[in-house]
Amino acid sequence: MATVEIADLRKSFGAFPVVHGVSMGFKDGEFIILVGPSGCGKSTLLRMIAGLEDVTSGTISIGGRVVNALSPKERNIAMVFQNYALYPQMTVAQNLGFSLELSKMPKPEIEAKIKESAEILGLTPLLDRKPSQLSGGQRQRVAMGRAIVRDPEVFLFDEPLSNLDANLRVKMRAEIKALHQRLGSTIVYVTHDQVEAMTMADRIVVLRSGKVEQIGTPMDLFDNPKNMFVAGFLGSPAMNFLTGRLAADGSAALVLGNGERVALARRPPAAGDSDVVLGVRPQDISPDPENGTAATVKVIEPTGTETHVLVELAGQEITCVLGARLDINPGDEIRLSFATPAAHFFDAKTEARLETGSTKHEG
Amino acid sequence: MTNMDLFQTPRGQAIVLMAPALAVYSLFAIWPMIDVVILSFQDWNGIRENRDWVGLQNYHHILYNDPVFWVAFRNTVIWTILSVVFPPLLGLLLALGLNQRLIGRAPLRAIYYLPVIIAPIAVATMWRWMYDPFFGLFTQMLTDMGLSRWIVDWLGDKEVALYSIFVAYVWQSVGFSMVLFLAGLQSVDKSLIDAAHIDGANRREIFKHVTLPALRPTITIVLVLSTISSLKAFDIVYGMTGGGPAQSTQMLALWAFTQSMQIFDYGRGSAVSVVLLAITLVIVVPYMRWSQRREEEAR
Amino acid sequence: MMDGMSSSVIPRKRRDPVLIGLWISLVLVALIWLAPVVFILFTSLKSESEIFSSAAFALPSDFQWSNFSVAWAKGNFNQTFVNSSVITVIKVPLGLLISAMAAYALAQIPTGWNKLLLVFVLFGAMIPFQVMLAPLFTLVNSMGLIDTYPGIILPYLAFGVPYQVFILHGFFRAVPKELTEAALIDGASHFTIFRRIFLPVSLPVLSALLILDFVATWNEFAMALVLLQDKNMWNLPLGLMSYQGQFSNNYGQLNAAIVMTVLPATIVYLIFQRYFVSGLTSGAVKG
Repeated sequence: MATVEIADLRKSFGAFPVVHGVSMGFKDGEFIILVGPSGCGKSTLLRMIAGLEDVTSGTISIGGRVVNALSPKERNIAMVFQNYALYPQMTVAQNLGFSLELSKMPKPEIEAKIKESAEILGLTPLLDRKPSQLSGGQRQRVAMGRAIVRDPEVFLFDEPLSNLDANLRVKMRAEIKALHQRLGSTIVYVTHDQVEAMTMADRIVVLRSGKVEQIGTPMDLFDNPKNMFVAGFLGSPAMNFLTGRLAADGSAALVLGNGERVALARRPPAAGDSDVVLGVRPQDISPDPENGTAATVKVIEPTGTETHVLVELAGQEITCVLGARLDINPGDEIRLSFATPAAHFFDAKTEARLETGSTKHEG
Repeated sequence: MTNMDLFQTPRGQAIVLMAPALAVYSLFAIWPMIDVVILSFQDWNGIRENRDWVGLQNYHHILYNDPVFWVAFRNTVIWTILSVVFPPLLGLLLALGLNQRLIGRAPLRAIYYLPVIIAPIAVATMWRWMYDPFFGLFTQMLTDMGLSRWIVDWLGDKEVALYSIFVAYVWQSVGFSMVLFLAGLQSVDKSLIDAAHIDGANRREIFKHVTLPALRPTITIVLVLSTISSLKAFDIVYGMTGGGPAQSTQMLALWAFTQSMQIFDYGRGSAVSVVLLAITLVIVVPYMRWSQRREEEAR
Repeated sequence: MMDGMSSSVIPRKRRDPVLIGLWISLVLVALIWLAPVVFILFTSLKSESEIFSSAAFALPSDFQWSNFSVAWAKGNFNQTFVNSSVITVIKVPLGLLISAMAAYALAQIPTGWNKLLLVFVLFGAMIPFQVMLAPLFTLVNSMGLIDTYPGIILPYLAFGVPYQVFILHGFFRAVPKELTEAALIDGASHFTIFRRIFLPVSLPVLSALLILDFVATWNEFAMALVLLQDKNMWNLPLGLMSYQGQFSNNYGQLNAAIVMTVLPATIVYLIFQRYFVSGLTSGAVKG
């Protein structure tokens, strides 16, 4: 178990830069999730920590030791791959024991270790099988078992749940979290799935185009996103953005492009000349037949517990989550209130949030 | 770099793993190819200490003063054209037939492929005996059928010999094309054929619009491989006629060998080799470019 | 559209006449294809007088097994058989090993030079070695290796490398790179990964190549003709060629000699038929 320090790390493939000088520190025993859209450099970052990619510049330290020049095996890490990468001709037991065998550990000790990790992961009845005889979830467990037996300082996970079906993914998510609590080891976990990030991480690192957008606990990022990208990336369905200008009369309202006024819970600090973007999560929009802003219903998606309604408002599309049973049809006009204290305001040009600090305490 | 380092870094390990194959390949395959080009500008009998530079003399000789070279050249061209047409065509027909669900399809395939694994020199010996003008298979059969007037000296007649050898070559090489086409046919999308059936296409239309387009890469590969292997034609000619009678079945590969190894004129032999090498490269280089592109597209 | 369908929609059990015609013609052509082999086999068992008197495809009335023993002795088969066996038994596994090693490195260890090296190696698969017989002789001669086993095995290795690297590289590259990376993290060197993971995984391809290469090596003639001059070093094809030159007056024995030369490869083929097809086509057609 160890800390991980990354300082001004850069990576280029040829002349093509993919990681632009990122710095971050992970505490001992922390569950860190690197999240971002594909191509954001998160996997490259993980592979550099693993030693599978060379570092162009900057340093990576594990447990206080700079590991840039060390080969993967010298870094005392373990990695779980998206496609599991199990050795096809070896049994589950051999897969689990391979790294120990290579480190010349005595046989009885290896067997004890295999037995122990197999029990943790419920693999005991499968030890004599080959990977081809296992289901996706079982393979996933073997891949984790292979990591566990080594007692590594850091566990690295590269999109480990992407190849599983939706139900299994939910189950494995809980298992990985339980495993982390049991082992208490440092985990660096890469995913493009914001739900995985929100549910499992101690802290989330949001990456975009090789740069860190924001680092923080899931709820911190959810409540206090630094900018539109982070705000839009976390949460499902994604946050809505409405662009307009603050009302000239100084009241708490946004004037949209077509002159429509949207009442707000508070007036954000002015953003100079530029337009303001109102960010509202679909769950925070409520129907308000009297004072709400008029919008046209386009698509209705009932999920059973609630209804996702896509509406059009001044030429912009907005998703809102409304009650379970609604008596509306496409084409109807409904009036919606955006005057929620949980709303965020962004500068339309810089995409940065206009207020600092926690919105929950304001308004 | 110390020994330890070499074994520790991935690059070092790559070098160690590649070294044996690359070393033996460079020395025994690439160097002789370079040397044959060098030799083609030299005069050497294979024994003398010195190899004397003579410029383009060898090329001048084979191009202007060596009638056999042109016979060999002509024969190689005829042979190549014939081998690019007949074995692939027959192979394709067999593959299309044997791709159907037929009784005994496996043993049939085995029979057609059998000649491929027989040593070319043994094929030559077999067919030489079958072509025996007095007791050979063909003479016997024609006699039995009362067609004795069709009997010719299969390998002794200057007009016929090359084609007699070619028949043996077809017998040996059809199986190879067939197997490649059979593999190519596996890559034809079955759902496309089903879709064409549903759209009401008949056999010929399915072949034309579904099978043939899907086979296009295979066809290219088979044609190129057939060309290359026909340029290599050596064993079978050497074994059946040795280039005779009166050099009428001489080929470039064999003539290069004969000049160098039997007439001991390494310079002229190598010049013939270089001509053959150049012809090969003209076919191979575009092909390798093409397949490289195809690989990259597939990725 | 509808009227076109109506005729084919009616279900019926049909014997497709086209398929029957196809089957008959395929069988007939197969008989022609098999005829030379049968003819040689029958002749090899006939006495000299029977060859001249009986029909070509008549079964031998009296099996002349002595044709084989006489041809074996006259053709010095004892020696050529041993030579062919030694050359093949050393060359084939060794060649596969060095090709597999190189193919693994080219496919799985990024060095920056891999693409170039691969093209360099594949180039050799396309070049006819028949073109280089003379310089090859000069080279081997300058090393004093004419009429030695290494003198023939080394060039055989060199000309086997391109095709085998081509096939194996294609196979190894299709293995996800994560497998190598997982093993690297587990503490394995590339040597270990090659030996413990890639060799076992590629056993089917390796056996296919092993059998193909066995036949190719067993049958090789042109290089042997140049590099093995001493009668006592000849391989089987050279022995057969010389036999034909010296003893072609006895057809029964000549055919026995042909059968004996061809038999080992044929047996290997008939036993491992399945592998031939996969070995030949795995690289050439798919991809």
